[in-house]
Amino acid sequence: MASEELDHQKVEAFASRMVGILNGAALALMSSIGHQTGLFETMAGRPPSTSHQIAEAAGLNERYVREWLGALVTGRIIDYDPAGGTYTLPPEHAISLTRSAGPRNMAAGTKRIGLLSRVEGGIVECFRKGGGVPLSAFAGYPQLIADATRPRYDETLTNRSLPLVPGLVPRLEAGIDVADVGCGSGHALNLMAEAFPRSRLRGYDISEEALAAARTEAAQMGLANVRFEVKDAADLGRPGRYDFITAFDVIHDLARPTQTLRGIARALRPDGIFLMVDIAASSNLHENLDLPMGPYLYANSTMRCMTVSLAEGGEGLGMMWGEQKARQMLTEAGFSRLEFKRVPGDRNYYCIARKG
Amino acid sequence: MATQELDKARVEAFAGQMIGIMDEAALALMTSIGHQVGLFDTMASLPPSTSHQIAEAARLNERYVREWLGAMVTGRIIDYDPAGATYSLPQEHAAALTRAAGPANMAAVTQLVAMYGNVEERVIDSFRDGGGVPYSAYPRFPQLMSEMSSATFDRTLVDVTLPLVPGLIPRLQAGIDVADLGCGSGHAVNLMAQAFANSRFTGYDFVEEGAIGGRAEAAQMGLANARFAVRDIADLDMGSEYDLITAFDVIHDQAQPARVLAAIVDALRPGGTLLMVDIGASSNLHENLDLPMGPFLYASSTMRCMTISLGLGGAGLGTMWGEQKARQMLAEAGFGQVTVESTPGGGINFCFIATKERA
Repeated sequence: MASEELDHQKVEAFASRMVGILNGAALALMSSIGHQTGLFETMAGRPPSTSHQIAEAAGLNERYVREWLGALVTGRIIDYDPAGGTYTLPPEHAISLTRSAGPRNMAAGTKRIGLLSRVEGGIVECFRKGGGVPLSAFAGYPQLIADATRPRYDETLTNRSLPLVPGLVPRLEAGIDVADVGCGSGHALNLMAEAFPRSRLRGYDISEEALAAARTEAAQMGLANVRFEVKDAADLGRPGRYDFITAFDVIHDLARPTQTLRGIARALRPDGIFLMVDIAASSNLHENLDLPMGPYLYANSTMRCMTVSLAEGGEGLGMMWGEQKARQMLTEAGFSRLEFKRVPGDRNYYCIARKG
Repeated sequence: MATQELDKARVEAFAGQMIGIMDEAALALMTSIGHQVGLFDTMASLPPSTSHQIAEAARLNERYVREWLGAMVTGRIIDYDPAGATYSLPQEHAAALTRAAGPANMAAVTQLVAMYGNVEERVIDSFRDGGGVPYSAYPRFPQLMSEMSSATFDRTLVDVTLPLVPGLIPRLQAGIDVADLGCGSGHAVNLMAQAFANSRFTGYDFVEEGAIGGRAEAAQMGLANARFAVRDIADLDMGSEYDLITAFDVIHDQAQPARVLAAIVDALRPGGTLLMVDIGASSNLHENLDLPMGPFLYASSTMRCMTISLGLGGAGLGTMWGEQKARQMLAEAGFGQVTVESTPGGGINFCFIATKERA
């Protein structure tokens, strides 16, 4: 290798790309801080303001706010006018950075970088010795997921996602038995329970903490048709118990997804439907080269989804297991009819799986 | 604002920029892991190889290596050939990612990202309540700093940086007294002591591990003219006993930088020189818009340099205090003459050369 001639333009271009990677990482951390301290919300809609005015409006320390502004101005996220020493968040940027942007708020997602940073040392050890970093090491993650998915469910679950399943909505209206596997803090299930009061819904998860939040929300919403239980997804109880089972973004995280998919097939009635929502990717790396957020997704897989599964001695599917692998595993679990659908602007596929 | 018409193209462009930021942050974490486990070094010497071959060569777990490769391939850092399911690291990329690249190795720098991520919550507390994050909250910093700066010192200190000071090399060869402030693990001191056997060098740092490392390396190199002392450089309280004082990337971190600079003036003999290497930036934000590492440097300041200083009740200069502020503080400390040189080879630092008057 050493004797080969280097393409100096390519060397320069790549060095610049590495600078871009450092700057991007820095801006992700700064965006996360901006989100958590409410600085983006404070700045959105404000006229051009000094760092003192912004800090005062946000109830924050001016020196920190000023240094943060330096990063965001050089990162072209915030505009700066040296004449008055004033800063502005353009409305076209605010729409991707504020809570009022709902599912389009990308600042909320940047919080993952800090969370993943905290397990980096553990992941390095796993590269060397195998095994995994356990779920318990990801403190704050369930809340992060809940915050990140809530706006999406609010906007799309009952009016766009569920209608993707042919004939499902009338059945839910008439009243059927529904289970959500890996329900987390239960917002999706509570929305369904509210929209379909005649259906009976069960949420299963292994996190008691998440289920407590789910029950609290159900009580606040006055829902009598939903229950949450600690249960391993691999065993959903007696066969033929459910008409409709959902799994949102969860199968790839499991230690034993093969067993879980079989359990779901068994728990469904013969005409039952399994709606599996997961990352829309190919199982083949070379087909993911143009996938938006490919590096981000593989990195999240490495540092969370896959490692959590491997920590339990699991299969370690990883977030990027892809559609082909999903088809194969669903077929092997006993689902003979599969349909994959997409919702525009959603990076997941919606797989409608039936047994017969 | 709600009634204002949004520029839709600008909305789209910015959403794309945010996606890029997420990908870049992910790649920074993956690059840091690749550096720590030696994957870039391994791949730089391999022909196109499968994930199994790479994992075996690097003695790592294949499943983790394969997922890491997924991030590196979709991030266009590593090439993938689906025909043989082989991966290769272009040598032009290896030139910025391997230990052999020395100071050009940017993979080492990506390790700072997770270090900053680790203190995120404490920095957020400081945004709300003021104060800062203590030095002890960055346990990996001394080792990372030493790793990054050693490569730079090896290539540039004696041959490039010191000759920037007019007339300095002959004086070092003849024999003068030199102090390095905030010497860390002392590699710069030892390199200078080796190159200039007639001069006497002292490294000061408030971290004891640094002095221990510095002494051990000096012993290995057989140096009799390098010594190390554990001392807060704000309390130097020395007579005028040095001809040259160096401070590499440390003044902006100080809680009391004005006091440190005044102590340096006192510690220098008349005509003595301070060589202060610090971030090459303007003190004015709008003049830093085209600084290549601007966002990273302001973020580093927020997440480490500034917050450490503020945590000590200090001035909180920050990494980006800039040339104008540095010149002003050097003048106020009593340096009559200050010249500023950019580091040859496009480094991110400036060299401030400040001379104490003879009178």
